[in-house]
Amino acid sequence: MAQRDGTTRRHDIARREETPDLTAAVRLREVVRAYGTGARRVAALDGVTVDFDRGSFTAVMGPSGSGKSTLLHCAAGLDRPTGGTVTIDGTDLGTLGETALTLLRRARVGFVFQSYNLVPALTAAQNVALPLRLAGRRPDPAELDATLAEVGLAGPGRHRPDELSGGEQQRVAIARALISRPAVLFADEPTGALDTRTSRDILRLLRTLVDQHRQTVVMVTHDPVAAAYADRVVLLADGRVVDELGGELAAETIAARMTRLEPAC
Amino acid sequence: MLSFAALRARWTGLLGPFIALCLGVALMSTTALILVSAQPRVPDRYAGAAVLVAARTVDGIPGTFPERRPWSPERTADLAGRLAAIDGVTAAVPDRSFYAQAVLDGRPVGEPALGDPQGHGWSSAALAPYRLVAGSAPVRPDEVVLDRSLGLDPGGQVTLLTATGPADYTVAGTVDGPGFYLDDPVAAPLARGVRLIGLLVADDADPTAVRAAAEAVVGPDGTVLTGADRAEAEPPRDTRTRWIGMQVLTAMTALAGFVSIFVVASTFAFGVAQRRREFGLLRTVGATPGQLRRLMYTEALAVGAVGATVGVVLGTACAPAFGALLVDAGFQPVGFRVRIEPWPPAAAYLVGLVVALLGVWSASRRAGRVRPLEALREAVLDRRPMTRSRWVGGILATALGLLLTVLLAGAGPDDIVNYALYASMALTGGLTLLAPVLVPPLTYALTWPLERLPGATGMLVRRNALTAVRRTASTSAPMLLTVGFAVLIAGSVATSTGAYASRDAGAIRAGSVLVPAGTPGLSDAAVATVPGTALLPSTVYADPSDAATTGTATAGTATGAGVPIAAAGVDPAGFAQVNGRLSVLSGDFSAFRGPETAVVTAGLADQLGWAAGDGATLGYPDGTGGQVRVAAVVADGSIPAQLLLARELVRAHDPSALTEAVFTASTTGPDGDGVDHRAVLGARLVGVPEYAAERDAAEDRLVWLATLILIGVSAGYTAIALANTLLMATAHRARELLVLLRSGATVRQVLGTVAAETGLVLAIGTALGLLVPTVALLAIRSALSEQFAVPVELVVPGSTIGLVVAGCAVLALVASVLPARLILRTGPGGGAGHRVE
Repeated sequence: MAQRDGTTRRHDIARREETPDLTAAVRLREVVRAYGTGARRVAALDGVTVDFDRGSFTAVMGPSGSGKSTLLHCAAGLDRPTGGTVTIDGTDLGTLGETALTLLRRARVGFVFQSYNLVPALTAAQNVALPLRLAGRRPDPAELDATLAEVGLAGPGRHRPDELSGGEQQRVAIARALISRPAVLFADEPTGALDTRTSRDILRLLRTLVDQHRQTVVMVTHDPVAAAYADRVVLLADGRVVDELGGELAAETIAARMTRLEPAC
Repeated sequence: MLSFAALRARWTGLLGPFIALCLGVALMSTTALILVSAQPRVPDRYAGAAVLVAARTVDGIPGTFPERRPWSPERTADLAGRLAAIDGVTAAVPDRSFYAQAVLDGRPVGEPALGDPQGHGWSSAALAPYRLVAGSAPVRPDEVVLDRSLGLDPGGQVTLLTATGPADYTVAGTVDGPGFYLDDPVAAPLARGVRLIGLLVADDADPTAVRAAAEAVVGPDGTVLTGADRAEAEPPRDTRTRWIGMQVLTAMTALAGFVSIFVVASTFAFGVAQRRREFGLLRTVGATPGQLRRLMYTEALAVGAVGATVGVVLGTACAPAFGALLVDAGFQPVGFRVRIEPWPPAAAYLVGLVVALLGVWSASRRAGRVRPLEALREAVLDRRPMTRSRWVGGILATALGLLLTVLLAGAGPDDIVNYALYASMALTGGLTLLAPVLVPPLTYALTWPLERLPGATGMLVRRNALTAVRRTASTSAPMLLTVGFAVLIAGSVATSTGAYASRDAGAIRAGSVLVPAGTPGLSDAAVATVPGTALLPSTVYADPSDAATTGTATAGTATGAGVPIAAAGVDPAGFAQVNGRLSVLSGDFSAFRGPETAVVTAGLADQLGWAAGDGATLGYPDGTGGQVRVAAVVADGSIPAQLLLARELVRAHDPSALTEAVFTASTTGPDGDGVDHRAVLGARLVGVPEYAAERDAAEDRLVWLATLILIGVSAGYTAIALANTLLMATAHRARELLVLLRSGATVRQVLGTVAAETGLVLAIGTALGLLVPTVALLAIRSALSEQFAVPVELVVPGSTIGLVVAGCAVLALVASVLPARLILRTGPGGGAGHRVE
């Protein structure tokens, strides 16, 4: 059942990919995400419109409470917006049921968390293979090895998460996100729990994925140094896009812009 | 892969369902094997007779099992003669039986049943066949052949107790089987009517031809049994024992099945609640709701398959021993053996898998509804302990329970216990569902003093319980069920037994009662030891021509062989004095005097179309017939039988009948003179209350045993659920416990907190568990005392309940402190820090 659905879905998506008029991997239009009702209503996202182009590396920044993570969750189909549309690879997520949405995420979206979120009972390799198995596919050992090598993990495939360092666990999480060759990789503070050196390694890895494999990456961070690895920085405050930086990015420039935003909240 | 990895990683959460399924399947395979094996068998006493000719069965005194109606002496002689003449038949032996019991060392030995007399004519020993081991056949009137296991040698003297009283015999010989055998002409006048003729057939005879010839001889007047069919000749007592055993076993298995479903369901539901983060994570990496549901089903199936396999092996291995236990307890007839067959365990195995799947059904739906982002949230505080379905279910069940409690007050005596059971079940279910609402105030009240204590434990216990309402509710629920069920069942059985005894005692106007001791009934000699009114029960038959067309449905099936009637022979004048419950509807009780008169109950009079003043034709247990006149019709239940006859009439036609009790005005206690004399006769004098309490002692013992089995099964299961829930809850609190340790608590303090929290959960469960059945028991008491018009004492068997609570407490403490100890082994630096859980 899952296998058949998965295959059909992948086929549909492959066909859409050939359509020439799509340049954005992910497209958000007037996205609103509100919690509560009436007087207690709080809008975490208040009409966000933004595109993430294919093969681009975007950093989403903003003060805490600005809606960065909510934006990422809505864009990745992990959370449903209360208004507006999210389109991944030309598919409007709002039209999909829970199962169809899951199948789309499985095929087209990779997600990396700050806290890794690996299944503790499974080994590193099993964690990486998990999305494929959930799709009903038997993982090809060569493909697994290649993905693990891609993130710089050749050895510790047999270890369980609690036997790995933080950096290694995050690499496993990235490999798991990449195994299905997603259209877009979302990363939510991927270096938040890591020391400076390990953080740099992880960010270089993400940069390499964009440069060598034209992987679309969207990363939420509050660290200007991390954001400097991106092609473009989207600044968020109070649930709205307030600024955008592009071109050659220096950490200092980004930090300055961020500082200007802080009093706003 | 995922399922099995998950199974490996969370064995603590699956231990409960595993044990529940394992025990459930073990119980089911044992029971199935026993039920399949519990078939009638050819009685040993007839094993050597190839063909049995049995009299027709009559269905029906309500509450008893079909018996065969004896042929008349003439008909017996005629049949025996013609059957013996069949080609190939070497002998046709009428089975003459009478009550006989040996008195050794001044006491009657053995406990022969009323329906299975041990005295026989010598010729019937050939039907088994039992062979002479020593000595010779009885020829003189005072000679007996008996079982060699009594240890008596030929030539010795023995006292035999029969219906008339003790008599001395000389042992002529011994046989390799049970029974007392007298010379046929001596046995005949002692014996009840003949119900069976055994045919001994020559080795070279054609059994089919013999059978056909016998059928031609006996015609519609009996049944010819050959081969395995001869099992139909088993004593009705065995049929009854087997039936009782089957009721108990079926109830036990059904209970085990249902409780297994609930244990599996509740532990899986609890597991889902605790694994929300894991499921959220799986949803995040791309698992569909369907896949999570299937994950749950796979886990359940895996646990079910392993548990059921172990259960089947366990159940099959234990079946023979359990069968022997049932025989000892009186739930299976003597001689019962378990036959091991493949299909009953196979069926139990399949049922085990189905139970596992049914149990996981609702949990799997809940797992499928987990949203992806729940992996990222940390929910320590239960935001919504009450779901809408919990409210609806809880309120409905409570309302139903209250309604049944109201109805209980107006229910008849037979329905009272049933209503109470259903009412309590509904109330208990309602309370369990509403527990998240009830637990906080109860916790608040119970733990109020704790916070005032110095030290952290009291405060921690109180705050934890108040914060995690649903956890407290779901861990105390199994305790609620266990205590509630134990109190209800034990209390209602004890209370109603006591109520029946006081009602019966209130209806008897006598100083004391002479009752059997070590014998199935009193012989005439024992009756003669006290002046008073004796009760001599027997069975008589109404002939079909008398059966009115207004007869009940059962009368229709019995028309061929007559309607059996439970009769009692009494002394009319004495009976009227003793019986304080007599209620005459028509006719005149004082016209009941002498062997030509009778008194009938309204129910029987309606069934047979009899009225006061009518003549009634009766068939007697010796096969003869006669007519009596109905002197009076009395209310049902106001006499201890359906029909009262003069004692001398019953004695004349049922020489083997034994007296049930003698009511005497004398209040000479059991210590009065002649105690030894009575003991020899198998009798003792007791007070009226003791008589009333002991009258149904054998029946009560079975009921109580069945009660204890049911309490044991249900309490055992809920204890598993309790231990399992606590085990899972503690295992999942690793982080919290480590935080305590890091905050400077000693290991001892943390364990103390865990133990105190468990104690609190037990206290809440016990308090709620005592509440419901107490309401029901009070309702039972008032209903019974209104019905019987006597004060009824509320009996709550404290020791049974104490045992249940203590057992649960030990199990619960082990199940919570032990995993906590394992978690704390890592020390304050130990690592739940990076784990998802």
